[in-house]
Amino acid sequence: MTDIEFKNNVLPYSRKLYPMLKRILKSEDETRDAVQDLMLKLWNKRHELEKCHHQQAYIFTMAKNYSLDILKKKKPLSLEDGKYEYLEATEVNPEIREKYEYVHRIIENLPDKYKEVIRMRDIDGLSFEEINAVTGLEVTNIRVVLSRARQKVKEEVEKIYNYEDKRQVTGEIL
Amino acid sequence: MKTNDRLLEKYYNGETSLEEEKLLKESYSTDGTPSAESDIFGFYEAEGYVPSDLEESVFSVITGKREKAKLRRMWIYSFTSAAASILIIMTVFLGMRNERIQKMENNFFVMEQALYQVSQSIQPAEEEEMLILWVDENVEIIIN
Repeated sequence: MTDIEFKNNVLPYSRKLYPMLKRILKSEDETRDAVQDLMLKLWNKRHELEKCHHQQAYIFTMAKNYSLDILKKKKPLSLEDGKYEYLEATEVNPEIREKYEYVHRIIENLPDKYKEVIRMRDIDGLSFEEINAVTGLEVTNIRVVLSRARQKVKEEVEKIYNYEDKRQVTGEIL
Repeated sequence: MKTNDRLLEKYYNGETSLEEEKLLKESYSTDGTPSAESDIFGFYEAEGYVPSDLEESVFSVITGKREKAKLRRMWIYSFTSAAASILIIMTVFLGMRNERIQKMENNFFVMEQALYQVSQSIQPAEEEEMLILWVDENVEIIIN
């Protein structure tokens, strides 16, 4: 595998792995280092990777094992779990931040399978095949889980905010 | 908006493609109307934030590491080749030295032989069947 092939076929996965690892590590610097480390591991295994028929499965399995290793090391810090830490890189106003925190909490409280699938799809932007590589769930099953998780999130968000009322208020002001 | 409604329905059924989802999320982030979707999609976008220079920086570290490894390899090669050259030079030098010593030894041996022969030839022939009965400071008694 040449530099260019690696750059075109493997490197783009770092964009999908970044949010995934960020959820575990919380810190942007640590996440960047972890992505770096993971990509370096893949680079060192590029010849093995080249022979592999399911490259994405290989990459995600490696990423999954890597995350599990990080989780094991991170365990003493698990007190922080569940707390939503908004990215410093994107500045948002406190009102929106609060709304995002609600969404975060709703997803956090979903059953594990729902939580895992909805995050991989809607945050990380993984394809169904990639989600299958990580979770082992069949694609048809993933669609069902995803559909239910998305509906559940919407229901819960709407429970908190009464958007219809707000729309009317903004309509009157305008 | 109708396209969006249809897409949204597909989205909630888990039938949208990644491209369609991207379109949907973009349209909600630009649309200022408060809705569950604008909050949800806004959250996803924020959570899915990836630094724009990520791939570039990752790749530069990989190529940097590889360059370093290459340099180290080059250094090892040059060191090995330098050591090999020194060894060859030493071998040749020692070989030549040995040869010179050998040559000198040969010459010395030839000369020694020659001198021995000369000394042999200038010695008086010994008398045959000569019996020495007495040798003194004053008297030599010899029977032929």
